[in-house]
Amino acid sequence: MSDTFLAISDPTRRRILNRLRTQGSLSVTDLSEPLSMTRQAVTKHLDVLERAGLLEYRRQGRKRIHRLKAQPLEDVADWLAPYAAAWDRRLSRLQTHLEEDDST
Amino acid sequence: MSGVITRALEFSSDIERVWKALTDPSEIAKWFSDRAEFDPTPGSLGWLEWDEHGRYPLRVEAVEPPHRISWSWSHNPGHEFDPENSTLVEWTLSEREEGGTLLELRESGFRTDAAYQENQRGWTAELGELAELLEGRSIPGSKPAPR
Repeated sequence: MSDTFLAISDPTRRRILNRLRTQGSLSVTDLSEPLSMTRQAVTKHLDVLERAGLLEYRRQGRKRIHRLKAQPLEDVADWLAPYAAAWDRRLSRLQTHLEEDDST
Repeated sequence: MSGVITRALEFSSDIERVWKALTDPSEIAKWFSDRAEFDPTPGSLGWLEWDEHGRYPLRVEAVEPPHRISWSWSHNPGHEFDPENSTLVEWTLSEREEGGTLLELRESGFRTDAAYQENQRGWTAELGELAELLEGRSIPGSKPAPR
């Protein structure tokens, strides 16, 4: 999972993930254009994402078509769940505290 | 986005009252920790302390009364504040048109890299459970082959 955190720590890679999420399958060229980056630079980012298990690709002629694999992101969400639950408990106590205070 | 926790909650109390609950140490000790040292001034160091878990150091980052306050806290109780091993907690308060206050919470900066895991020894019981959960999760499919 540290690979996932590394992968999503970079804003360019987050943009790539968002585009794959919203637009489905994309080639390196498709991904490079709006980023105004070289194909080589984008390929490096794609390699990081692939190592983290966040995308898969298939060959279409000479092109590689990339697709998002969301499972590692779901694992991150699961990992964060206990922290989120702690906040739910605290916020619920805050609500109780303020309500008790209002009624006195 | 992943790696971030966000929550939003509405209160019937007015914004000044909610602000006080978030920034006055004696108030914080009524709903968050057992004790708190907290000065809502950017850069000030404080802590949140639980009988059960120990003392968590924090640093106040940004303050805009009564609308925004943020602080970083380290996840190594009993140690100095360590920005390398901390998450950022941001609170945003806004007045609702129909009265009351909308409170938004965002905690970001969670990491699981090696340095962070070394610090895990110091984590609380609650986070110990988390580590067990992680280990339990990593077993399927990654069981070491018998030698």
